[in-house]
Amino acid sequence: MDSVRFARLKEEFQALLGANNEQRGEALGRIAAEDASLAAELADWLSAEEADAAAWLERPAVLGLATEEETGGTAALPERVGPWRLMGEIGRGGMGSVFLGRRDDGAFEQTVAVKLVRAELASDLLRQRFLAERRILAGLVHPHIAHLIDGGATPDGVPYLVLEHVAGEPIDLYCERQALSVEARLRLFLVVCGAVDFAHRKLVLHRDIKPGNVMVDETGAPKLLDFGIAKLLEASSSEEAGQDWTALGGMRPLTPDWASPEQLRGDPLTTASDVYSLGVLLHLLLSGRRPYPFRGQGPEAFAREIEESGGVPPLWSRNLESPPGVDRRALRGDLQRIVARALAPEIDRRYGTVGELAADLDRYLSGRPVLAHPSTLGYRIGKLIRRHRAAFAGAAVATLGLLVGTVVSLRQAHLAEVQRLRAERRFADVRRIANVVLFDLHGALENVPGAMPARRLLVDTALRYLDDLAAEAGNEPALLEELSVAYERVAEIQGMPGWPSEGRTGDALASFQRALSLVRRGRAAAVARPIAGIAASELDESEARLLVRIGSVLAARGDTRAALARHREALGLLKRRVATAPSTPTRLLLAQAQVAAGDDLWELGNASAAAARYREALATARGTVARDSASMPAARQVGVVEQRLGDAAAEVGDGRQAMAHHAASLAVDRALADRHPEDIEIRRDLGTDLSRLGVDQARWGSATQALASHQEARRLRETLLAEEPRDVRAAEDAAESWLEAGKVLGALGRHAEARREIAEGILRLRNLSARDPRNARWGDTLAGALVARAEVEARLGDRGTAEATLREALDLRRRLLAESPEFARNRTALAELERKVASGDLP
Amino acid sequence: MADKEGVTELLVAYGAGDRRALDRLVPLVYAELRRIASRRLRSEGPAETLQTTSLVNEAYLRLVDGSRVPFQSRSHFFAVAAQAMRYILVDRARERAAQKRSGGAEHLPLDEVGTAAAWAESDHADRVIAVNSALEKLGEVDPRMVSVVELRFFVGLTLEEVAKTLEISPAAAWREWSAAKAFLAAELGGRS
Repeated sequence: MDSVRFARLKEEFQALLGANNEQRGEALGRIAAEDASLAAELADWLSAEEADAAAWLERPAVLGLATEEETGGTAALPERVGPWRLMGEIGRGGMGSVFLGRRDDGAFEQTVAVKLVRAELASDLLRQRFLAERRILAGLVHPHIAHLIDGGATPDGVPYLVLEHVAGEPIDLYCERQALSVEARLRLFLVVCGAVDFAHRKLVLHRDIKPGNVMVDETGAPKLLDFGIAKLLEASSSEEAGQDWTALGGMRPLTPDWASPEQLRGDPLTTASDVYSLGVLLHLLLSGRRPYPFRGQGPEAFAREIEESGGVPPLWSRNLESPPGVDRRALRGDLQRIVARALAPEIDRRYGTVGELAADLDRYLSGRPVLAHPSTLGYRIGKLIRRHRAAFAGAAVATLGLLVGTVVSLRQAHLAEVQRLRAERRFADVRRIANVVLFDLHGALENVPGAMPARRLLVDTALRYLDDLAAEAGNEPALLEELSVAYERVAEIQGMPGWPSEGRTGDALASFQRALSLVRRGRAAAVARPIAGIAASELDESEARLLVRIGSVLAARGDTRAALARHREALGLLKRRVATAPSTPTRLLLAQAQVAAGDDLWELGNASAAAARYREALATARGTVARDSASMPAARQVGVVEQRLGDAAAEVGDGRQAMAHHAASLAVDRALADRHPEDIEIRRDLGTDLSRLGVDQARWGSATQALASHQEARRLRETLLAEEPRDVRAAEDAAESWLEAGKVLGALGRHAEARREIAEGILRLRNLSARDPRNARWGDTLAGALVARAEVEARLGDRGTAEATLREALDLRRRLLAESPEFARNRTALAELERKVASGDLP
Repeated sequence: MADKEGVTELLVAYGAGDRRALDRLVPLVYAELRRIASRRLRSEGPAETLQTTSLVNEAYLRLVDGSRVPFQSRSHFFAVAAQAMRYILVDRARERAAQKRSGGAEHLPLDEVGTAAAWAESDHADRVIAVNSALEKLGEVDPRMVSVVELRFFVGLTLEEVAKTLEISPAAAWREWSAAKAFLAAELGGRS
């Protein structure tokens, strides 16, 4: 071989490493013109590179196993086992040999490890147990567990297992070679814990955790081997097992260095036994040594030695070297404690589960205090959820499960003021429960379809706790504020319009009032004794928010003036607050209050004043979006206000403005729905936009367009209702769409269809009204629907029914007037209706 | 008998520019590696893998007094060990091949986990021998490429480590390695 030529060959090759086929082809052509054989060689190299023909070179060569003379002979071994062809021995363990295998039936390429049990151990009993356990182990599918692929027995009756083949090195060597830091070793160890924990959940114990069974592959991922296999080889009775190491010809499938005392004694094993072995492994990874070196004594003696050792040896000492990469300073204190706990000889002093060990390590890694015991509080809450599992909708359960155990931290500084220690602890407990139950879980359930029954349960439970708490709350502002927020959450669930709820407006109002009084109490206390942590001005915002919400409930009940008063109060507080602390949430609340005040004014018949408020709100909302373009609520707020402005314009008869604003709102909401397809509130708004636009189009545009809008709205709203069948608002919206579509059909002359659709709408409205007769809005809508039906019936020639229907509507409106005299729209409509009936004015 | 002092001295000398120290180092390291390998194969549980990297590491720990030797001597050691490792592996491979031909042991001691999976049909030993021959040819025209293969394939260093040992950039190491693979694939591909 010519060195100059070779150098040229190499150079050309390296130059083409990043090139594509075209470029390569071109280069080859160029070179071939000069030197055909060079080009040919280059082509060979290039195709080898493309095909990755030398991939085998990436795995370093290793030494083979000992030759015969080195180990001392072995019996003849089969070439094939089932569909697996044995390629050669790759290891030898206590129970038999391990071979490299490949599938031989041409089905697919797979390289596996085949373990053959030694002939001496193959008994009927063993075979049976093998087969029984095989199924369980095959179910252990986990990224960090070597999967059991197959198993069986050869015609000679030798049991075998086929496992996923793991290429790597034992974890202790890996850590040493990579010179991993303490943190890196812990993180690797935690992955291992995850795998063991997974198996425990499937009721499989490993029983033989040691570095040789924890391999780390070249990507740095650990894999557990030999899972539960030790169990397969255990004799079924203690007599057969024998306590002597040599009883089974030295084949006791257990590595003494890694065995827990109970294992050494042959006692029944639990997850804690695996914890112990993991503890030994952890000790090794951190200190480079095993805690209790086995010196060949009998198992009983060794177990005694461990128990009498007086504690786990320290992870580091002055005379001994720490493993490479390990900073000994980390080995004091908490880590030592964790290791000691995992290695406690008595089971009840140990971590009971691998999860607990992992959790403590996790705490250590994030700098949190290491706990002695698992949180009993989280445990209790978990039980609460589990007991009522049946009440929870499917998707919510998983989320709840995850959240249980999250405990909100207390503001200890405030509690320090409260002298009564025992009451304090109970108080803290109760508050934590309330917080967990309400804050964490509520948030998770907020926008999940189908979560209503779950919320109801939460409410009942939470209210019990909260009432207890409130009785003991005293005058501590922070506590009072937290309590008020809790009541607010309850109220939301109980029945606030604008939220998916059960329609119990009265209960919601009561809860809101409770929340408000607590906030005011807190504010007074904060003003009297200013304490760091919660300022009176922060409580202003809470108060404002509550006032807005209370106002909305009052408005829903028809008490519009009271609602307006609250909203104005809220506006006062918020304007002050926005001046000093103009955050996005505060601004949004301001816009919300402005809209609410506008709504009240509109209800009271003052459309122009309402429009003015809405324009204020639009300015606020747009300003918020300008400052915080990512805020979804801000974008939504713009949509909401545009919608209102459209409504106001429609009210005064300005069709052009109405359609423009409603269309603008629709555009905003369509964009938001695209970005957040799962958000219920946005979809609801979309329905409202379509509905409003449809109404506008019916009045000032084309009926065909209007019908299309209403139909789209209806489809959307029916979907929402299906997802949340107990949601009052969704039912109301769907009913409205039926009605509106029906009305437009009437306008288009399709009377029969119109009657059907209006009838459907009326049916739904009646159902709703029955649930909350005090809800004036529904009453009003129902009355309107009845009138619409009457008109259609008249057009269809059914005058008698038409008149009866009209009278029904009249009665309804009169009743409404009596119950909610403030309800302006009703008054107007009633007047109109009376005129109609009196004059017999029907088509 | 290689002892810590002897090898350390030689490494220091080699680092200081004494080329002859290399000639004396190789047999010492070779002997130590063989010793370690035998001991491990004999005494430890066969479930342990026996990767050359850990052998070389152990040899380093045994032979070299880390406190007295400058940092790059570790690289030199690896370069030397790589050569030694190659010889050891080739020796063993030749023994196996001889055994096979003479119809010896039923069980073919296939090599350890790491490479085993990579091998398609052929015997590892044959491959090692083939690689060795190819490398001998290569050594006449491009010794540096040979070092790259030795360090990577026979010792199991990563490309970064190879780059450090040979004092080239990782990109250059990658280019050398790519070319080496292509060369070896083409060379060995000729045989069946």
